[in-house]
Amino acid sequence: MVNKRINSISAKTGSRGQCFFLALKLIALLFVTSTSVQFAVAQSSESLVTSHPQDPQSWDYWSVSATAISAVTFINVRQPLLEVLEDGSLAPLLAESWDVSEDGLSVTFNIREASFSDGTELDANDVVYSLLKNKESPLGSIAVPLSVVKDVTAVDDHTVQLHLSTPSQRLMTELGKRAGIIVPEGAFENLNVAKEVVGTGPYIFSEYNPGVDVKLVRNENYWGDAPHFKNVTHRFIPDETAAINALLAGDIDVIGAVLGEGLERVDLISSRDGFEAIVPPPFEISYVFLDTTNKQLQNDKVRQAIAHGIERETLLIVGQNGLGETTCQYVIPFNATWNSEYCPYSYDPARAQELLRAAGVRNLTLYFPYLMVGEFPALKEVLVSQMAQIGITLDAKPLDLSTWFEQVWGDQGEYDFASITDGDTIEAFQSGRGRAPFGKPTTAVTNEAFDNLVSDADQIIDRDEYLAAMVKMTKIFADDAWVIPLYAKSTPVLARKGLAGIKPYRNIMEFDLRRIHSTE
Amino acid sequence: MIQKPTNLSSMQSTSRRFFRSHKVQQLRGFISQFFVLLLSALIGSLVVFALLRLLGGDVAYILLGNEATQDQVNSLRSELGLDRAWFVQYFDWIKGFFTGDLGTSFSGSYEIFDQIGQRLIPTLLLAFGSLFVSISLAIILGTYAAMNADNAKGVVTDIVSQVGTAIPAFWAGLILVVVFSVSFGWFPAGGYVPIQEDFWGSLRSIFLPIVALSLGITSVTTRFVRSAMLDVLNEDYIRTAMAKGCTRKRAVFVHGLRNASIPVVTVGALQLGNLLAGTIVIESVFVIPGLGQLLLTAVNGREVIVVQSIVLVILLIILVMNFMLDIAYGLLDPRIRDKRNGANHG
Repeated sequence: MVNKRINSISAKTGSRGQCFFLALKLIALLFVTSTSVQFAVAQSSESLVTSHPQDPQSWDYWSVSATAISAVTFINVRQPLLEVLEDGSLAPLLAESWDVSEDGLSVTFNIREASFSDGTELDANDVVYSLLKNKESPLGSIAVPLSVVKDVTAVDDHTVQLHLSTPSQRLMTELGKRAGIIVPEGAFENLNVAKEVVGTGPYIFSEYNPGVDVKLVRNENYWGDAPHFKNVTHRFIPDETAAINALLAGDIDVIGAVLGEGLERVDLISSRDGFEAIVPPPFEISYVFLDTTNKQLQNDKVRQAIAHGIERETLLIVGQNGLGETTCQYVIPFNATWNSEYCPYSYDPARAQELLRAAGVRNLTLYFPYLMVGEFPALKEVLVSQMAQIGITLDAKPLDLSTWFEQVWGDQGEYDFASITDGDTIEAFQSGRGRAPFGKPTTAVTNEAFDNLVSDADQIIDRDEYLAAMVKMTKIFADDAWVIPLYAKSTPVLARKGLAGIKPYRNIMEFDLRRIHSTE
Repeated sequence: MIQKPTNLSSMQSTSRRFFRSHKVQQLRGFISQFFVLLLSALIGSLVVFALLRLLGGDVAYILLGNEATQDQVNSLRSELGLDRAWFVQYFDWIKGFFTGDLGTSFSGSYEIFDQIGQRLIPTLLLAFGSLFVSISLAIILGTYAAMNADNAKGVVTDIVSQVGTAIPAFWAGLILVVVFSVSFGWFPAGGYVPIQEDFWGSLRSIFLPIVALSLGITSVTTRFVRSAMLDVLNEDYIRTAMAKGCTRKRAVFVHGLRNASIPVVTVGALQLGNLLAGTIVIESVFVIPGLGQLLLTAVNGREVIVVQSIVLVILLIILVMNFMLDIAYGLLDPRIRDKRNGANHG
């Protein structure tokens, strides 16, 4: 039809006009059909293009907490000693085997033959260096599990022994996460770890374009099975709508994590021919937490009333489009055997009002600074409404991430009522660990029973005893109602059909490339 | 010709004539405008610097995350130089900006000056490409609307241009992606290909963003062109040109357009600020690694040096454009140039 129109115009304008319009047609044809280096990468048998919403700006896993670092480099470039499987059990990774002493005070690892992407061979000294360095990390999620490690010694080139001050159930699992990442000896002194990522993984960190993409190239000297794709490009696409459009247009193969407005479209896209959604089990929990310095909130009845006023199903639908599970307990990993349906304060607005009357509290107003990104604005609307129903006013104020961190997470603790999503384990809430509401210096209340259980449970060697202690700890925490879990969230992956091997679970925000392959 | 001085009063008179001479007056005008430009840039930089310090939030919390203690935060702030006096931080930054050494980002992963330099090109391509397309289209559409003001064609053109002003650029961008990328597959859904890598790929990557960005500006400028042309069409010189044998079209385009160009150039230059602001949104929609995207990331991450530097770059671009606009006025309309020179001669 366009050609007809152009031809009719050129007929009227004569031969000069005809030449002009012919040139225009040729240019348009070239323009539309030309291929380019960048856009030919997706849907290739040798290359994989994924997208992630966040560019971490730094690849220093040791001092920067951005989960996007794990999304690109964890397991794929930098690897830990162990691998945590879907059921929580441990599998060998850089440690081929290990032995825990009967008293639980020493762990011996046999380190496999492998080499780093800089060409150096992995040996015991690298493991010693990495674990001792990780123990000094300013990030609690890395340093705290290693706090029980008294020393780390190299027995021989491929044997490392850890001596512990107390037995620790948590240590082994955490050695399968960031605390267990192994880097070459001297890496933090000799490299700029913010830009140079060296590891033993199946991919080499080849090129980083800040804010644009990261290119990984298959490590031909990888100690394990070579991955399928020779080249992987992780593109940083903060706008989820743009990422989905890129997937639908064939510019990318996978959206590694759908976190925000894209959640509403997961069902729609996965129902289209040629696309699918992989929804791993939850590995993070969204929760409300209350300020311990607020005198009215120090009344148990008030907190219980707030917990009774929360209807979780609506929050799950609004915040996650239903992708996840409601929960009254804080349990990470969510599929841990000590998780249960226990819910001390189910949704009961009448009971909530009764409790508030019994507490003598009327017209309670709570300051509620909330994040203006992700699901939090939508959650805020529902929470304000639910609290209003039981007679509590939430004075909601939107804050950007940095300001929220400073005012709420920081030592200032300027909030009464707040909500966040986190993937850290329940032990992080122990007093003095730095996590609100109990961990800050300004904390007015602590739960001694909970704190003691956290310290004691970790040291239990007997597995059944340990599980019983975890059940008890989780229940005490839930009963206390300073932290009110809302739901465990799943972070779906959207991919084009024809890809297999996408890992169906996550431990942190990793996107494991090892087994992904094309079926076409 | 300046005569050789024979006595003191002659010398004084000669030197006065020299300083009042045409070229010197022009040079003086140029220099004084340049100093105004510099002063505006410096004041702008102070305002940006102060506003960012007042914004709140801290890069230390962003980097260290939710378990950071106050001691760790203070230690990192000290390491990054954020605990220094504001005037020390300001002078350090300004010095670095003009010497091309702004150091690395707080996250440590990129050189700030290099990043800004790399990202400037896609942003300028978008902004100036859109400006060029908008003004070109606006001249054609506006003139057409003016010449057909009394009939349906002109009315339709007018209505279309009004609708264009109501369409936000980001919405236009999303629709264009859905239609031309997702449905037809004619263009990529996002991303940017540098010209040196692939010429046609580069054009394809910026085509839809430029269309999205140009829509609103074209509509606004079209209305200005139409209004200016309507005035011009009633002038005597158009009638004279036609009386001398020119067709109406030739008379309008050859004689009338130049006279109508002054308001068009003014509007175009003023729209540059909107265009540069618009690139922030368009770069997000189309995932173009330009200054806008870097600015958004840096604001969220409280990379204050990066934000200050980008804002100053944008400010300088706008100031330089306005400076060149003043020069352009004189070229387009000699009467403005002569009036200025007459005023300078006193």
